[in-house]
Parts: sequence; C-alpha cells; structure tokens
Amino acid sequence: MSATPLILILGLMILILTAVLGLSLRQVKKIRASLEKLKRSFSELDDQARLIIKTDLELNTTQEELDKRLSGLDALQKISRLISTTLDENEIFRRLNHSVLTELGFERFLILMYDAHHELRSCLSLGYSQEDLEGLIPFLTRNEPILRLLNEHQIVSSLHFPGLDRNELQRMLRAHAFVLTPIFEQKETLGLLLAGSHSETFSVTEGDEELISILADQISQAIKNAKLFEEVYRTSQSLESKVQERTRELTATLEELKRISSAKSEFVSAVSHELRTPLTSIKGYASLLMAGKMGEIPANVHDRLDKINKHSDSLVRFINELLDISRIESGRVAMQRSPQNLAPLVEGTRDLLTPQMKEKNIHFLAELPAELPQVFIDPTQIERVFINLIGNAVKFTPENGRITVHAVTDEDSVTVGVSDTGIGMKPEEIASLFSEFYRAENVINQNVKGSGLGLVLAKKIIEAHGGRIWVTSVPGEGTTFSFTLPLKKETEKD
Amino acid sequence: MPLQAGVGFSSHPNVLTAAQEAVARAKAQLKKEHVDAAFLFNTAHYDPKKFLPILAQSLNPRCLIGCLTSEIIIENRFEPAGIAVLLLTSDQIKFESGRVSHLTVQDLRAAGKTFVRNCLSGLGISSRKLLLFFIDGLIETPSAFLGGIKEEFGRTIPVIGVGSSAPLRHQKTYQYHLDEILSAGACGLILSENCRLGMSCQHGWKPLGQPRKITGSRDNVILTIDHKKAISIYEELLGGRIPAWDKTRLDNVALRYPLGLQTASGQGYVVRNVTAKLDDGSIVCQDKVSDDTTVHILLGNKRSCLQAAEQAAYEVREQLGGTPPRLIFVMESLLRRSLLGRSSAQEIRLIQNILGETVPLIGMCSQKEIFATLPGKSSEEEIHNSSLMILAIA
Repeated sequence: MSATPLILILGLMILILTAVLGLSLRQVKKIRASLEKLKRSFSELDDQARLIIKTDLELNTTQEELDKRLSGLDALQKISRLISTTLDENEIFRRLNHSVLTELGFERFLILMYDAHHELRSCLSLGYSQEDLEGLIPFLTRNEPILRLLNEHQIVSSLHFPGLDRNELQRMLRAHAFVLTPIFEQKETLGLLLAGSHSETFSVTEGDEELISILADQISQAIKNAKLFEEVYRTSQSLESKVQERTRELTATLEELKRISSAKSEFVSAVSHELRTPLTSIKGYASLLMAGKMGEIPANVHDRLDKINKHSDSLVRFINELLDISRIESGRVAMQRSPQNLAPLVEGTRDLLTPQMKEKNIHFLAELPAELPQVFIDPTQIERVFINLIGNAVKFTPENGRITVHAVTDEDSVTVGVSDTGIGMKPEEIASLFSEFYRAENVINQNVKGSGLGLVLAKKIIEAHGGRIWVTSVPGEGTTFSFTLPLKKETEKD
Repeated sequence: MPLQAGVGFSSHPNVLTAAQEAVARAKAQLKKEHVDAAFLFNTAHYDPKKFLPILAQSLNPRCLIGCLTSEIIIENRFEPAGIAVLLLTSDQIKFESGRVSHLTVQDLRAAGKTFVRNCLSGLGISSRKLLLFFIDGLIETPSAFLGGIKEEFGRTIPVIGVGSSAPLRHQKTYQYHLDEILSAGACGLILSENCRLGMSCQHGWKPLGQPRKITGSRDNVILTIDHKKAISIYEELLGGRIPAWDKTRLDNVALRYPLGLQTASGQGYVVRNVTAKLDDGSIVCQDKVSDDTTVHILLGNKRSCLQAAEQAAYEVREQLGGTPPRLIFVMESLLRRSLLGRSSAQEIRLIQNILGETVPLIGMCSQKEIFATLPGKSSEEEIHNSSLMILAIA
C-alpha cells in the first residue's frame, strides 16, 4: 500500500476514534508516535533505495567494465592465436569468425582494406545484412571527414566523434554503439575496422575503444607478417629460379668447355702424331748425313745439320709433352701407381741435373725426413714432375744459389716442396703460371727457350694422383713449388 | 512414437543457403522424413520473403510458425545473425496452427478470439494441452488480445506468447504462418493429446523503496503515482540520474530499474519496462497498467537474474515429474539479455545443466513475454517484461 494515503487514512481514523471512543490524550499521542515512526520507516526505505541505486550503478559500471576487459582480453588472446598462426592474408580474415569476435562485446564487424589501387574493399563482414552493407560501405568509403580522422590514426566511436554527428553515425553505421578504428602499419593506413552493437543499453567505454584498437593492431601485425612472408617467399623463389637458371647455364658452359677441351686434346693428339712421323725422318736423315754415310760433308754443313738435329730433338720433346697432356686430360694415360719412396726419385733427378747445377755452382739440398712414409704414386710420372720443377729452379736460380727439396707428412698425404733462391715471381704471374703456353716475362725466359707446357704437365700429373700443386714466391728472394701426394690408394682411405 | 525434435541453425551469408543449411541440420537431428510441425526464427539479416516460401514448400509441414527475433538462442549460445529451424514429429501429439493479422486496426479482444478459432479449426475433439503463439512485439497492450484468447480457448489451458523482436526497438517485426509473412499479426500452435509440459516464467528483480500506488493510468501509460506525476517515482529515487528518455530510445537507467507491479496475491511482481517519459510527467510502459496497483522501482543484477533462471528450470523439471524433456524452448527478454550481456550464455548453460545438456534447445529474444498458465489471474498480470520463460515438452 502507498505510504502517503496510508498515513492520511490512519490520521483520519485517529480523529474518529478519539471522538467516538473517547481515547485518552496519552493514547492519541502514542498512536501519533507510531504513525510518525511508520512515516520515518517509509522515508528510510526510500533513503536506503537511493543509496542502493547509487551503489548499484557504481558497482555495475565497474563490474561491467571489468567483465568487459576480462572477456575482451581473453577474446583478444584467442584471436591473436588464431590469426598469428597463418601467413596467408585471406586466411587471417577467414579465421576471424563471429563467435570469437562477439566475445569482444560487439555483434557486428566490418573490415575494409585498401587494395593496390588504394580503393577500400570489404574483407570481412559479420552480423551485417547485404542491405546494411549496401548503405554502409559507400558511406564509409566516401566519407571524407571520417577517412581524414582515420588517416590521422584517430578512433571514431559513439563515445568520441570529433566534429561528427553521432546520430547520423549511429544511423549510417547501423549500430547504436560503435567503434571505428584505423588499421595501420607505422604511418600507413591499411584499412579500417568497425565494431558495432545494436543494443540500446551498450555504452562504449574507453576500454572498448582500446580493445578494438588492439584488435586492429593484431590484424595489422598479422597482415604485416603475411606480407613479409610472401615477400621472403617470392624473393627466395626468384633467387632459387635464378640459381637454377645460372646452374643450367654453367652446366651447359661446362659441357661445352669439356667438349671443346676434348676436341682440342684430340686435335693436339692427331696433329702431334702427324708431326712426329716426318720429324723422325728429318732427324734420321740429318743423323745419316752427319755420320758421313752419304759421303763426306763440309764442316759448315755439319754445323747446320747439328742444328737441325738439336731443333728436331726440341720439337720432339715439345710434341711429347703436348701428347702427354692430351692423354692425361682424356684419361688415356692411366697412372701406374704403387707404394714408392720419394728419396730415390729426388736423387735420380739430382743426378740428371748435376751438370747444369755444377755449371752455375748451385747448392742442392734434399731435406727429406728419414721416416718419410711411402707414397702411392706412378714413379715415372712423379719423376717427370721433379725434373720439371727442379729443372725450372736450376733455370731461374742465379749462380751460387740454393735449391732445396723438402717434405712433410700430413694425415693422409705428403706435401713436397721445391724451393729455390731464384728471381721469384710477381703475384699476377703466379695466377697464370699453370696456363698452357704461358711463360713469365723475365730476362731468363727471353734467353732460354721453353714450351710453356712443363708446369701444365706437372699439374696434370699431380691432379691425376689426386693431389694439388701451388706456388709461393717473393720477387728477388725465390720461389717454392709445393705439391701433395697421397699416402694410400683412394679406396684404402677410411 | 513420442515427440522427436531436430534443431538446425546457419549463419551463411547467402539467405537461401542459410535456410537450406538450417533445414538440413534440423533434419539430420530429427532423423525422420515426416515433419508434423516446424518453427522458424530468423534475424533481420535474412529477408523472410526470400526464403520462407521456398522453405515452407520444401518442408511442407502441417504446421509452420515463426517470427523475427533480434537474436536466436541455439544450443548454449546467442546468435545475432542467422536462421534457425525446429522440426517436430510425433504420433502421440497433435499439432494445429492458425494466425490473425492486422492487429493494429481491430479490437484486440475480438482478434484474440478469432485467432483461437483459426487455430482450433482442424483440431476436432482432441484434448488441448497448450497454445504457443508469437505476436508482433510492437503491439502495445497484448493483454486485451490475451483476454480474447482465454475467453475462447478456456481459462485452464496454458497459453504462452512471445513478442517478436528486432535489433532496434520500434523496428517492424514479422510473424510467419505456413508461407505467409505477417506484420502486426499473430501466429500460434496448439499442442493436444498426449504430452507432458513443464513451464515457468521468472525475472529475478527485487523491489526497492517504499510502496507507492498508481493513482492515474490510461492503458500502458502511468499518469500519476501517489497523486504526483508518474515520473516522480524516478525523480525521488534516482535524483540527478533521471534519463533523457524519448520515444525511440530506452535509456540504460530505465532498463536497469524497471517498474514492478505487485500481483493481486501480494506474492510477487510483474515487471513493466518503461519506454518513454511524456511531457506532462507521465511514463509509458511496455504493457497495460491499472489504477490502485502497488508499484515499486525494481533492482536486478546478473546474479539475481541467474538465480531466477535456475529457479525457473527447477520448476520446469518438477512439473515434468521425472520425465526427461525432449525439447526445451527458451524465451529471453531482449532487455534482460542486454542486462545479462556476456552472462546470457551462462544462463542457458544453467538451464541445460538442470534440464539436460543433450536435449535440443532453441529460443529467441522477445519483446514481451506472455505467460498464462494458472487460472484466476488477470491478463494484465500475465504480460511480462524483462523476464525469462522456459517451456519443456516431454
């Protein structure tokens, strides 16, 4: 029952009772006091109600904001997990489904992204009907004030709508409560995200703005990652394609080179054979003439014949070297390898070259360790290497110089060095030293004839043994040729 | 064969695909080809003109009713966009449906009677168990319509009604009967013969302040309370927090503190949402109010609302007397849903925990809840706002 009429009725009743029943003044006072008490109680009820409402409003506001924050953060975490595990831009939007997005408290979402022509296009629409979108998308894509604010990375919402008409926004965005935020990466605006709710009781707070803004950042980051991945993938694909193309080119070039080299070897081999036969006849006839088998010849003719003989020998050596190189290159010469000591080969070479060394008073030292193991080599071919290298050393070492042959053992090979105290070489000369027909430009080479094939042949022989050869040299101080030789057969290696 | 129910939902952006998907999923759960009755709920994103005729033709049920809703309740969640279909079949329950249109231009009491006659037309002498109907949520005083229904249908048979809702208040809503789309209409379904029902309507709001009395009213407008302008009840208790109500917008404060009309028995309160304040200080409610009714401002919170839902579910379970339900309907007030916000899903889970987690569940957000299940009450007391109704069929 209502309080005021009740009090009036009771007051009236008191008057009637006082008059009719002849109540005492004390009794009347008592009833009045009760009435006053009742009035106060009703008044207190209203006071309590006011206090409860005030507290309830404050509590609800706080609780709602807290609930919103907690579930919003939870939803953002889920969304982050969903979209950060894909590197496909379209898949990012596919994974943003309604059930997870509505946990942010909004039930309508629209994402527009700029395309390559800087046109906004819809990438995601949830909770909006086709009819809604037909009005909404043109409104957003053509609304200069909104786009300007978004480009300045400002949020437009039903809470903050600088310079805009909120009622119009609510009508056009089909949402009573809304947050419209830019999706941007550094300074570039990539698109926009609209979250809306039709609930008339939903009031957007700064917390909502923050949540939607974080969602936009997550989307931006995911898109950035997807783009980076795509870029890296494309670059890697392009590089791989280039590498494959270059490999194909190199393979083709190599094949062509092999073909040319093979043709060259065959040509050299054929020409050498053709040259050697007439040369043998020339040399034979010259020898016959010199021996007087065709009758006495004058001294001056003898001298000319002697020159023919000597030049024929040089030409034969040259042709033989060419043939050897050609044979080794084509694999027609197999190395007859067996375990051998190096010392006899070095001594044999020293004996062979002793006259030349004596002529220039060159001191020869063979510093081979006593415990030097046997090497697995073709002794005839390796002896040719020694003759070539020591012979060169003799040629380029001035009088009273020194030539040293030394060796060290490695794990599975022996490294042999032939050092001299000769004129040495410049670095640019070293680079071409093992090229066919190359002869370093120096005074000695100008006076002494050579084919330019000796070092090439030595290199071929060493490589045919599975070793390698190299040079170190200091102009004016001397040169060291080093090469390695295997200790065992390749098949015996561990 | 007892009642078989199948529920299907789809939020596919294409309206026809969504309808087809929802039907396919409902059929898959129904596991029967024959459909006796179908319910259909859709949100405003899906135009019924595009899908209802096709859907009605493909299902071809004896009865099909439905309406527009702001949100669909399906399984244990609220869906703001989609189409939901419920298919029923049973040889123990008879279904009959009917409709009435143009409610805004005719006498509502007479319309209520016509509506019942339409629904009963094919039923014969079957024993009636329940009338479930959907009415345009914008009809301001459905109590007269309900009065007409009860006069024609009988005062002892339960009647449950739901006001269709749209995302925005005062937005047009639709009701469906077979392949007909109505606005400002009502469609309903009568269940008869052999079925057991459990139903409850609760709200969870508590009265605040001293009791006041409505001293002047006209239909759904309260003119004076305690002989003062009606708005004084809010002015006195809310002080400076008086909302700037207008015709189209319901303020948060009004939602949070609706009015409670004490029932004739004095045991409870019927909630009346306040939708507007008029210039003369009168306040507009969501349904009829009467003079001399004791009125309070009500206070509700999430906890009290959840407790009410729990209580409603227990009442339903008790009425079923141990028979497990085969279908659960949940009708949740649109404004109550707004108040509960993220806790709404928790409310549905509470109901499922009590009534059965695997029972098909479907529902909608309503603008008005009409719950006339007990004789002896006035129609006014049977129209509720901000309340939750549960109907379970076993």
